[in-house]
Amino acid sequence: MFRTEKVNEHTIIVHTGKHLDNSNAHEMTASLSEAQDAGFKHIIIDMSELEFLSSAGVGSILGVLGRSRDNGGDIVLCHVRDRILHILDVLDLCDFLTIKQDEQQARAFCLARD
Amino acid sequence: MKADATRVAGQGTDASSVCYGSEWQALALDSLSRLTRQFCEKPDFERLIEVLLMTFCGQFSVGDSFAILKKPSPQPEGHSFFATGHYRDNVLLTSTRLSHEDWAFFAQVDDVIDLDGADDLGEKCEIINLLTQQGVRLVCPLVHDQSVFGIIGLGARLTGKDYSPIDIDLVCTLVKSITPLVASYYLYWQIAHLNAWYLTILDSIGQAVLVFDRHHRLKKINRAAFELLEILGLGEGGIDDLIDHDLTSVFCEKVFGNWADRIRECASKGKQRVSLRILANCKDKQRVLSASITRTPETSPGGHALVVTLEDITNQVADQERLFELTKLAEKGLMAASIAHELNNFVGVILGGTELIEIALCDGNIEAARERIAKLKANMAKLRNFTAELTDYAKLKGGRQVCDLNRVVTDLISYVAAQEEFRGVEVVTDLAEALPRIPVNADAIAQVLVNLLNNAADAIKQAGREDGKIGVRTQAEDGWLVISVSDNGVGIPPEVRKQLFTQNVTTKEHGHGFGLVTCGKIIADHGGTIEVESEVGKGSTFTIKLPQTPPMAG
Repeated sequence: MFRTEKVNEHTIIVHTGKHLDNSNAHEMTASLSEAQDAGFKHIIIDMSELEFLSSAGVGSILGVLGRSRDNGGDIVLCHVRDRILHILDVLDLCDFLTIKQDEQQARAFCLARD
Repeated sequence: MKADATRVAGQGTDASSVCYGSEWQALALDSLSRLTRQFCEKPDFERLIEVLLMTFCGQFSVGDSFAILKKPSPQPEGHSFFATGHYRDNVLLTSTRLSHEDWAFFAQVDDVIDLDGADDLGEKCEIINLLTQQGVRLVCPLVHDQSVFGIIGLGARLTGKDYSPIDIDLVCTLVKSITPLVASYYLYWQIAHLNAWYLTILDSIGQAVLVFDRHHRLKKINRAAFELLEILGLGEGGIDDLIDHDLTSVFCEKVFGNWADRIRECASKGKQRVSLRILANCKDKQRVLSASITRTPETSPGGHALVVTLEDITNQVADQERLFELTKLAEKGLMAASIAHELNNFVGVILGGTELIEIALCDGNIEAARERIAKLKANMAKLRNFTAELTDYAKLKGGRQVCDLNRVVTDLISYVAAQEEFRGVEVVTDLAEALPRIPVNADAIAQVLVNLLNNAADAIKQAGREDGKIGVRTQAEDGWLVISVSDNGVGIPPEVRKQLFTQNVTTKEHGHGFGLVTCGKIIADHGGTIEVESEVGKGSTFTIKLPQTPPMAG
């Protein structure tokens, strides 16, 4: 499971490791679903360590994104490296996903939505 | 891959999706190759499908995707379904059951189906109609070697764009790459279920079953076998502990003596099946086991196997012995009671007769006394006949001499035919030529025949027939001499027929039923059999079979 950090009653941060692909996409979905089940509307995914993102890794986030947005929240990516951003761009998802420069901006975004 | 896409084409293309076509496809294929490698290293099928769906979701910006796969069920020709992924409120996944027609439809299509504007397909196939109503956008049948193993469904894209032809092409490539893995896993499922099914059947058998391989190592054991071994004080370590043990250690000397060697010996004789009775030394007492050792053919997979079935018949053997003793006692008791009853009747008549004679003499009525004495004499004669029959019964095992049974039959018929009872009855003989001569107690056999002939005459008399007919036939047949006596008399009811040779039953008004019991014992003493076929109102046929080489007289 991924390391998590509670920000406030609505927001939680999930920290990824170096890669998010077939080998751990399942765990990412489980971590995100668990946070949603616990009542967190906003989930910030800290990608500061992330070096490799596969289609499955993206799929693990997209699979639960709808539930957060339906509940008036969002899944916010932050500290996204250029190569990861490039993958999201290739998948045509940069405009669809909420991507923030760093954790502070992500927190501010979530706080503004509360 | 049909398209050389440096630019994503089709509906919904915009500036943001330009230039990354080949890189975009490479991302999906890289993900797939990692997925395949991961599966080969650790074949977790459910994980494979889930990650595959995530790959689809990530690759095509899809939130909802699902797979409905065929899963073998224990019943032949039966299938259950394995649904995974998520689609809206998941009702579609929990309620959808694909019919044979649906499978047949997907086998024909064998390609990704874009449900956008596929109304004509919905008319042909109910499942397509259902999926369209639920907003499913792409349906991908998993077809391998003309068999459909399931379908993958993708919902609408989160970006709001339509699937382009290149997207569909890529979906098709991914699905076709993954289908052989699904097919091989289906096969694995099928084998696992079949194996589980056979093990359930094996465990449901009441007899203990132990299967040894050609090296005589235990490979399978059912529940009953394990329980039996536990009763015998073996198998303390559980079933798994016994697997792969040698026949000698399973049938250990302490409990089974040298039976392991006997079983090996039976197996090596090349016979397909041998039945044995095994004695096992249990903790408290000796147990009797009925064993059957079957050798499967050399051509069976893995070479011949040895299947040993065991049944604990200790209680049955004890019951049989007790029943045998009880039957003998009951037979003796019944006979004694019957003899006492008959004798009592005679004694009663004689006592009554002598009292009447006494009264007549006191009255000086000599004529009446003489009359009573004549009646008394007649009753005494009956008593003598009765005791003579008892004597015959006791002399069952007389000496034997080689003789011609045809001669015994003809002599007898010439004697009985002259009797009063046979008046008006036609006795017809059909005697085999050159009947082998066999060693028999001719007097005893003659007694049997007299009994049968007398019974036949009585049966005809009871039927009141004027065309009474008795047939006597002899023949040689497969090492046996067969004598049959048939009549067209009253016949014997089925309930009487069953006990005819074992108990003192009679259909005659004044009979006591010893005759046929005696006959049965005489024939059994010669190692032969006596049977009866009869139909009430039409007649009876008694058939005696004597072996051409009878056992030694006891």
